[in-house]
Amino acid sequence: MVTREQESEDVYKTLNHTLHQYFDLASHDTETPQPILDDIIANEERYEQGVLINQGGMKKILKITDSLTGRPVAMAQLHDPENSQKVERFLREARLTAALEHPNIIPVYDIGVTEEGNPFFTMKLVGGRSLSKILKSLSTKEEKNSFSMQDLMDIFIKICDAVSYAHSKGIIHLDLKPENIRVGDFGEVLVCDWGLAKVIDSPEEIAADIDLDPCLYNDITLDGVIKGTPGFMAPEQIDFKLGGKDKRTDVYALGGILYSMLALKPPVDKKDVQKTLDDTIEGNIRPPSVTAPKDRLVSLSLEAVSMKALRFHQDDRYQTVAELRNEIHKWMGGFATDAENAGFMKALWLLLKRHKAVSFLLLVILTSTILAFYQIKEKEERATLALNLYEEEKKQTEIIGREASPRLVYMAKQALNSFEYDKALKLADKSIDRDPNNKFAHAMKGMTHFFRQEFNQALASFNQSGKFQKQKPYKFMIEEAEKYAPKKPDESLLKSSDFIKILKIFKDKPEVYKLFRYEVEHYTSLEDHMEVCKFMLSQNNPQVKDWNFKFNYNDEAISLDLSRNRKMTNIGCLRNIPIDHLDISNSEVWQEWVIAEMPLVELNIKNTKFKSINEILKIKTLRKLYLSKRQFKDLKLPADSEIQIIRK
Amino acid sequence: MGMSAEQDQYNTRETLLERIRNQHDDKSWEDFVYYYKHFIYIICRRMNLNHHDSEEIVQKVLVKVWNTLPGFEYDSRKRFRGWLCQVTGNCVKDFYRYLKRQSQKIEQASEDESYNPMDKVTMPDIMEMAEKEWETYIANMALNNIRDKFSDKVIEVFLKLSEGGTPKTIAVEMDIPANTVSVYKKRVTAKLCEEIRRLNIELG
Repeated sequence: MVTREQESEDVYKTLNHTLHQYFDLASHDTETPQPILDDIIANEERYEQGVLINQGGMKKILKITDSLTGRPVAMAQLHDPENSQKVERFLREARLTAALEHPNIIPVYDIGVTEEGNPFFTMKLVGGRSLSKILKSLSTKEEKNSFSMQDLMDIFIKICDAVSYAHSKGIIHLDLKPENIRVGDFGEVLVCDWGLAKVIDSPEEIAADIDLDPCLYNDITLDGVIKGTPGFMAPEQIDFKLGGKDKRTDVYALGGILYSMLALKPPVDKKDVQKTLDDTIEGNIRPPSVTAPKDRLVSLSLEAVSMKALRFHQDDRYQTVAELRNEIHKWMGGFATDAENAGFMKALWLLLKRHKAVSFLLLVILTSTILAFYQIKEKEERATLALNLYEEEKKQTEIIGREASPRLVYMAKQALNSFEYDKALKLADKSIDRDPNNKFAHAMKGMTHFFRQEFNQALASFNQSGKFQKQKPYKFMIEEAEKYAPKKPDESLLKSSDFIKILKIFKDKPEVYKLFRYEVEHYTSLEDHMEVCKFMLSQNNPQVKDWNFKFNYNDEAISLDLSRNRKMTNIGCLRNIPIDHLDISNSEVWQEWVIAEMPLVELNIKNTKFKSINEILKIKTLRKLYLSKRQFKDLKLPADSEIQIIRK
Repeated sequence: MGMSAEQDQYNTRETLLERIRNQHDDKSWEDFVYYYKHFIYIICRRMNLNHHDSEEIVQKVLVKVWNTLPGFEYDSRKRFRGWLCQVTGNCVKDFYRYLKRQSQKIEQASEDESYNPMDKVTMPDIMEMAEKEWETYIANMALNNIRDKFSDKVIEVFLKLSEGGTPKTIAVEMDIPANTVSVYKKRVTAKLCEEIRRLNIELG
């Protein structure tokens, strides 16, 4: 079996292939069992071959005739019925949808498994178009007026009704968008695709007749992968740290749908998730009146409603779909009042006609006064509303900025983990810009400066990092920075002896490598750097007791003698040093790759553990290679090789 | 001076692959080499290379990994292994091509010698084979890791079972009650699966 010292060949020869079955077992273990599939598997043939009418990422929809009822139905099938996880998710969607009986939710007729064992479910076959197609057509000249705002709000109210109903059953949809709304030829509005829907734990009034077990139904979507549609996905669907998904997540998506109805485009018009997230956390949702086609009139009150539903913070949105629906309802009432106003103008005209005898002039003056007054008032109202919206938006942008701050620090930390010191600093700065009170951002900035040996700046940042000053590892960094800040300007690096003292403090911790890596990239004195390398060598090879470390350099050559360090195995830290004479003979070094990059002229690897030296032989500058008599006996160099093999 | 794991609230545990992005983190690199060199070797052997040539390809691949890793952006672990297998596969193919050229030079294309067994093998085939090998390799490593948690007898029973022995015959052979056999099996299987999952996440 596998041990540290073992040769690959032994591992290969002793590989027990019967154990492969347990890998499958282990990976199936993590997936949920398939209770629904097991339920259903015993069933008979009922449907024939269908015609493909639509397909998405996970499933396809066929038009098919149900031989039992004789009616055409829509059948959903998986693209990939082999994937057991997808199968359960798919069937779960079917069951969940079937549990929702509402005039505005697509009805599921049947769930089953085909002869080949592929799961499917059938639904009502809806004619008409998806809402997204309708909205697209509204941007064209021909169909510009096919749906009035009133018509669209009728549709929107129905969507709200469906979602509100689902919420009352403890189910949230999580993927509401115009593509998932079907508008039939006869005014039916159906909310479809409940594939991402989730059962929430405490529905207020879960009906006794459907008893959905949250454990059974939620397992599958809890895998932490971002699911949803860019533009309609609420921030908490992208970053779970912002809060759990709940009814207000659907409110956000409904806000997105309302937005698209007003502007004829989604709130965030980006195809890729990352950009959408960026736009969302940067508060880049511009009001529909700004983004809508120029000739489209956007109701400012509906705009305000959509912007409120699209608030970043769950608490700032409408708390229930019913609240949102009521606002729309109010607008529809207001619209009626507008109609009444028109009636008033008509009445005035009638009045004028009726009383021709009265001074015509007087009436004209009266009429224009009323009209002017009416217009001024409307303008004023619009202006106030616009101002309110502007201020509200500004406030929202600020809040969103603060929300983005932690994410930016997190990115800074990741940059630091991959040794991108400049990037880390920039991100930490950005994070502080967004929220100057983010203590962790200050700590992260301090840490980055610390690795860069910019101790004065490090201290300035740590000073603002609040409680982090008392915590590891920042505490130690502050202590060290305080020692060296007065002695050393931030622009230069520490003397090797001081630097090693710091490395010793962080012995064995990742901080050592972050410090060392920066030093490797920025050292100016090779002699100092070699001191540091000597320390790193001893760190990485603790089994070596007495070190032979002879380093010499002049203008012509850099040579390093590490011979007779018998237990030395790891010389990785010598990377990026232009050594041309290296002696590692009588050690256990076997890693060709470290050496293959050096501009070596002479190399001594007598009595080492190298298994191959092909990469070494490719070093262009190499002239002399020392080997023992036994090593690579069959070695044949090409005729034109300039390398001299020396065995003595 | 121990710094605890909870050194800061935003710390996310890094897997070996993430740690290895740092080439100066030599310990991680050593771990990496330890875990992967056998795997690369196994792939080579599966592609009909002999011991000596396989060892050579392993070195070649490791050099490539060493030079590429820090810049390598792997948001998914699977992509890393895919890449690794591809590099290995290409090295092996190159090697066969080289052999062919050599033999052509020497024997002016004698038919048998110039045969390249890798000619008809496509990269997807190699990937599929490598994936299978990985699974077997991880399962083997997992069993090795949990070995000392059980007595030799338990492990022996377990191995006999996985080789297709029935609980009854094993019970007779080992002189233990039949239901003890299934208890052993359950215990080892549970631990083994747990370890496989852990290794797969860590080394993925």
